[in-house]
Amino acid sequence: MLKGKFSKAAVFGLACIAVVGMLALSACGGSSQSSSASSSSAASDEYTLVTPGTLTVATSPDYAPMEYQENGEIKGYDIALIKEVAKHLGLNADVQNQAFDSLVTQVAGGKTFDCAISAITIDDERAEQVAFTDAYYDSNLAIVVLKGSDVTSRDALNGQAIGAQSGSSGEAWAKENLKDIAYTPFQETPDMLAALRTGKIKAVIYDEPAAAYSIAHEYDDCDILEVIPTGEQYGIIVNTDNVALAEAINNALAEMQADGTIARLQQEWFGAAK
Amino acid sequence: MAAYLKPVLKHGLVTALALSLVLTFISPLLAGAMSVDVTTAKSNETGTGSVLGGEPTRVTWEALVGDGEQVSAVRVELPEGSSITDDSSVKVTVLEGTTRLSPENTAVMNKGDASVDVSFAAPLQPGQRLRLEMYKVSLPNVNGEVTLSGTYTLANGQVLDLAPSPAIEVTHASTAEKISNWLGEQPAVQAWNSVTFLRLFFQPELIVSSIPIVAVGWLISLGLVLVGFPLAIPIGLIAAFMKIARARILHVLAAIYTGVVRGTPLFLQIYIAFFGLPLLGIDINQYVLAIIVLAVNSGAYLCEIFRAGIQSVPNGQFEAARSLGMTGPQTMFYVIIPQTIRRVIPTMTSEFILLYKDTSLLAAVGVMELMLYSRSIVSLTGNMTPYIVAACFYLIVTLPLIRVVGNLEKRLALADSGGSAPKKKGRKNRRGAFAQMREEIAVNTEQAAEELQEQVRIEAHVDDASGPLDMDEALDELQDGAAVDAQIADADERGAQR
Amino acid sequence: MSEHGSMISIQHLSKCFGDNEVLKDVNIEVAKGEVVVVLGPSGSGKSTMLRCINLLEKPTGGHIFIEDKEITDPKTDVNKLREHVGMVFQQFNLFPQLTALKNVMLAQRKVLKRSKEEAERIARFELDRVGLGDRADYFPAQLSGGQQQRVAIARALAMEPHVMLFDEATSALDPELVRGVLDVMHSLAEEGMTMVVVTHEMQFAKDVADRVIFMEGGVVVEEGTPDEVFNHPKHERTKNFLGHIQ
Repeated sequence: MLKGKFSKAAVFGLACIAVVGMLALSACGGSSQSSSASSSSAASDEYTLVTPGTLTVATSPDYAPMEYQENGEIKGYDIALIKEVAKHLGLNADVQNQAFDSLVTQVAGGKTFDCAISAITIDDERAEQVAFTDAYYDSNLAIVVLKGSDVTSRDALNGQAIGAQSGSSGEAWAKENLKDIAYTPFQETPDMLAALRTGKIKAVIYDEPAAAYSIAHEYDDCDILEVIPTGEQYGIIVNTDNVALAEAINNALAEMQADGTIARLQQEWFGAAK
Repeated sequence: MAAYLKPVLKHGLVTALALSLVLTFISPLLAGAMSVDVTTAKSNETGTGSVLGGEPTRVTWEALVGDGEQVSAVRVELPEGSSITDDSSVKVTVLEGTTRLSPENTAVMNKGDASVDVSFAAPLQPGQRLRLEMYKVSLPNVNGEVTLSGTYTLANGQVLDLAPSPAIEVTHASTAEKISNWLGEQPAVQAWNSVTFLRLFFQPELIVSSIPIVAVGWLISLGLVLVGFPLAIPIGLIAAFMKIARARILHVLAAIYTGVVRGTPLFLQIYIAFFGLPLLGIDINQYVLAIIVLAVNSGAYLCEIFRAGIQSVPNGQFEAARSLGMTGPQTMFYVIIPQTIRRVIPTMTSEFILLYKDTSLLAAVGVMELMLYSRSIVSLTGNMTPYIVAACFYLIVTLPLIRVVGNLEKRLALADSGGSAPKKKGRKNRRGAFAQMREEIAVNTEQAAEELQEQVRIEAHVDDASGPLDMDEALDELQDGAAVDAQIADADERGAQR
Repeated sequence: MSEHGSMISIQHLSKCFGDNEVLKDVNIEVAKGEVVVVLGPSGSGKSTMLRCINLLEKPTGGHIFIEDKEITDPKTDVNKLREHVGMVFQQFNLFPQLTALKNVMLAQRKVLKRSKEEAERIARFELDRVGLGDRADYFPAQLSGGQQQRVAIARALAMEPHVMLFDEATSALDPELVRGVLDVMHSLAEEGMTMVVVTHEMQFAKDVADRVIFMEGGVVVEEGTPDEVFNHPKHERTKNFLGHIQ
């Protein structure tokens, strides 16, 4: 019975793909010529934008202080940074809300966003899908538990229910370093922390700056059990066909480093230049 | 890279250089060897936690510089049978506590003996952590544990062996993974994948490797709804009776229940149940809780469906039953409800389809169901293909049911218009709605054809039939009522056309 | 009050639907074995009167006795009463999800608690009696209106009622189907069943009725033997009505 269904599913799936694929191929066939023509000329020095004159940016604003939403406005260090970058490039920044685990795909697709900034850890596997700019911030992971939790060491996490943000480096770390855990992915960090509070999961793993911020603000019933030194760095991602944009952003970052803009932003958002 | 971020670094380098000169001479005197405390490999099997031998993976290796040692170079040797290719890369990270340092270094990957050499312009200091991430390297294709070995060179040129690393568990690749990898090497597939849209949404390798994983989620989703929906039926029935009851209090209670549940998004109900109840000290297994939430939600919708169904039964049915001396409950149970079921099956089936799709909302609170299984692969690969696979798994269930609803509605319309009611139909009304549905679909074609002939004969003699029976329509209907397989195939065909 | 041999005694019956008084001080006596046909234009209250007899409508005032038991007494077990009062409806009201046989068996099993075998034996007997022995396994939708009505009669008879009420039993039928149903009713009458028949079938009234009652405007206008009512009506309204019909 199951087998029958599976084979039908497979046949159906393949048929579906074949149809959509043909459509896509024919559709792309028409447009690819023009885009390849423009990208070949752009590749060296000029970058392309989804909307001319605007840097269209995707972010997952659930990661204060890096990016978060307040009264409907997307704010945070990353956001301030990318707006300054846009200013240096003479562009407007249009920052839009997207799920974290769709950022890489969206940027790789190349049709909806020019770049994404969202405390994205530079990672060679992500780099296969998208291009990273230079690193703009250093981070580590943190293990966060409820205050008074019976989990008191990293080793005690083995065999426990653990949560992390879907697609995050915390997720990768948990899966790779902990044994026999019941792992639950969450799309947004508030959900993850809500689940931690219910006791359904014993610990959550995410970036140390965001963890420290949550605990200092809304989540004073939680605590950092341990900082995991991963030395990971955040980068801005752009489409691989648009490396010129990454270079332009790198230049802007260098200028901002030189003219003290970055130090000012760090002072503003973290209370200290890092 | 990112040197501008680290004004501190220059200080660090100067200090390190100065210190290294001094320490070079005294270090061998101090005890403590470089200790390798982390070696892990990222799972390279879609959706599971396993590390497959013979397939590219990312190996992470960390070591702490021992007391009194100054390390100027490290050589990490992958176990016998490992391979490094042109695609492989290595990322070097040095940390002091939790602070990232960026010492000048060169890292070389040796394909010949599957090793990595890292050397530092200035030696690493005690307490500093060296972290190597080796991308796209393959561990030996074995079932069992492997360890990494190697040597390190002190600033004074002394070469020491590294203690064996913690073990990495490696397994053989599964069939799906093998097919997937084989597919990835095919020129046609590579050409297909060169189109961004196709690569991101219809990557053949990922379709193959994600099917077994997503199938697990599919079974869970199906399980949730197959348990939750039958539970919703008595809830809905009781609420429906309360709504038509004379006692005002019952009516009000039922109205509050259906009003609140139907008036708020299921998404919110799930949040409240999953995050609120545990805080009240009510600790329920998340799958059980998921089933309860689904049943309570669907019960409210079924209540309205049942109420409408009961009220659509002509008053004459109540009167006939009562005039035969049947009590209220007897009338309800033996006369009204059987007729109601027949009338509500199409809408109930639609409600089932909705509920089945709504299981995806449980992903937000971390219930591992179809959506979350596919998302876990999406987040791992940055590719949307598993969502397409998930869509197909939803359709496996919904398309045939949508078809069934259509057929049932057609039959009902036909029966209500005084036309033919296939002989089998009424007999099953007292059984479960789904049992009936299944049987109706599975009606043997030959048997049905016989019935049709009989039907037509009867119809010919029926004088008060409201209209002549449309032969074509009746035949259509019988064909619709053929075997399940035919239905699914047919539905698939339709799905493909859309 | 009621005499010996009385089956139904209706005394000062009144019924209001809101402000609308549809029955006013109706008094009717039906003796055991008697066949009473109630005539009257639509809206005359004859169906309401019939439905009051088994309490499908709750009388507003007055008393109804069946076999000397006052059914309008709140203490009366209505379900028990209904076991002995069979009713046939204009719209048949067969249970569509059950076969003819099961239609006839259901109340026997659930109300009279007869065994399955006994209920089936009786059901088959009653179906034979209405001439539908060969249609036992048919569903109502597969039967003609006339056949359905005969099943409905069999269903009522299987409960062994002491009186049968017919509420325009042939009005919903095509003319050519009326015959079969009337034949069944005719033979029932001949077997001595007490019957109250609301109908427009004048010929049936003439042939079968022991007594004819003419109602109009919620009151009994005239009653008597078929000969008295049809051939020598005393009241103007009766004459008018009969004149219209004939």
